[in-house]
Amino acid sequence: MAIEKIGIIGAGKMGNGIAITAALAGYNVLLKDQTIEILEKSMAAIKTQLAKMVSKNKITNDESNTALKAINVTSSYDGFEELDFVIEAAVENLEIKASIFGELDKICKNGAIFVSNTSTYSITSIAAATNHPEQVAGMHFFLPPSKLIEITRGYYTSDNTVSAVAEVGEKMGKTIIEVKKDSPGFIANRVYTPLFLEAFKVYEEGLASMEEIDKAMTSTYLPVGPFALADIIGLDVILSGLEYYEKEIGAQWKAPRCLKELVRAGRLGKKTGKGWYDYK
Amino acid sequence: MDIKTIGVLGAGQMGSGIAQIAASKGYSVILRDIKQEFCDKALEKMKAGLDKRVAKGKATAEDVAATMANISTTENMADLKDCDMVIEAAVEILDIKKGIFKELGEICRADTIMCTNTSSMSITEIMSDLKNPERGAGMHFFFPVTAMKLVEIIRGEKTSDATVAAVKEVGAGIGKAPVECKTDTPGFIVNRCLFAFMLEAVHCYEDGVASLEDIDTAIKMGLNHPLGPFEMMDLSGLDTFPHVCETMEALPVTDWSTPESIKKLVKDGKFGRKSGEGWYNY
Repeated sequence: MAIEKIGIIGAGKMGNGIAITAALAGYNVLLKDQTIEILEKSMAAIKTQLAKMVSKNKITNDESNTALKAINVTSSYDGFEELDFVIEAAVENLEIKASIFGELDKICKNGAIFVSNTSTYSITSIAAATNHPEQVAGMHFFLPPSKLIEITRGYYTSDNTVSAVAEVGEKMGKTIIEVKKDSPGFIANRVYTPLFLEAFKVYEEGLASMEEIDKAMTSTYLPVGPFALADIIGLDVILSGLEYYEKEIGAQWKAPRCLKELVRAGRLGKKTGKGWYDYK
Repeated sequence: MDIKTIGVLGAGQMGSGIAQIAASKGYSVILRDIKQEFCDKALEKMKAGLDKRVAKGKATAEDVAATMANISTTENMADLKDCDMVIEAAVEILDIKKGIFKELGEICRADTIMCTNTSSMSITEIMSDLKNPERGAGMHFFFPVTAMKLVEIIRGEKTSDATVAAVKEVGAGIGKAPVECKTDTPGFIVNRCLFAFMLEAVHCYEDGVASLEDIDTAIKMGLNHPLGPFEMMDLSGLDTFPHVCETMEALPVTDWSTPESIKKLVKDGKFGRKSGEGWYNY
């Protein structure tokens, strides 16, 4: 199947990044979010990002213009009936994702492939909201400048679907890893999350301040400290992930109280200006 | 307190690294191991490493000569009697460490600062037979010592503020970034966080979520880490891994038990880079 047009649901940081990558790879992109206001902001962010890439000589002015023209936005599902491939990058919430997939299944044509950019949830669960679970897979992108994609099969995902997803990923210039089991957090998030948990507990126990913990970790093996990284990802996302891990894997994944307190207080990380740290 | 002379116990990878950086910053270092030949070998290796830096233009021959001149060696504990500070980097066996500090307490001055480079054991226990235990603290360096910026400074139950301040000063004096651990809990900060991470990598591998190569790639490419968890384990040595896990089992909630796949590698003598094979082949 020659995929030419890609739909992206969710014009947040990840959705915008995926839209840019897809457009630069030569795809036509239809970016959907709930309101025109969100999409206008998103297009402004995309323009800024492309301009930055031009100024760093990563792409030419022409490439930037072509990519920009290839991205269209919509606040409805109009146009989704023609798409061959849809990437869902909505908020990290299983019910919301499942309802989007149910919707896509009704609107899109037969044979269209739906992938979720979830970093946490079961692909089988998400696919269960559709009548074509063989055409659903996980396609997990990472924060830029990462070139990695984790592709995950749900219970019914077909080989054809996996190879189509891999083809799209490769055309975007990504390195692809196929996750062999649909387990919570796939590879990178599952392996890293216990580090978050342990760092939060070390802080909660009063062993050291978060600044000191971040300094200790970045002075050894990590590119960014766990508290600073948590603020980038969003504390609400981490908390709901932990609740899911706890349910799916076991009690050792229980979220520490200090994290719950911050989320309750509306301190969700950089996106709200406050999380573990204050930003301005 | 003005610290000028530092004794280093144990001429292994960690001990010789600590001796080298301290000497390079002008401290007078006495390196001690149970046999003179261990010290001689350590000096030889150190000199070879430093000469390589000269060849690459990263250091001058004068720097190297000055560093080497600041280090003397011995197999007698008694030769550490005039040290202002002693850093113990012996094997990670509690009774051996305890014995060392009991002996040092008799040999050294009453105000000599006593540090252990343990990576996970209780400072309070290690210093339990030390005379004047308020001068004992943890001073945990990371491998490779010459490259890793961090030193964790750990308070035992009896450690005094003056001792912590003195150890911090030496940490900064030898060019490291000191971070204080306010309580004496297993694994301190870095190993506690990293072991939870490395253990989960092994769990993922044992569960068949992905191959170890793919897990390393996912962490390096997805999260921009310089090393994957399996490469990290091979570098630091798998033989010590179960010991650290054991000490951390005292901590609640997290499952710190040593995974079967690591037990098997260790049983087969596959300790990582140092033995030529671990998770990977070298």
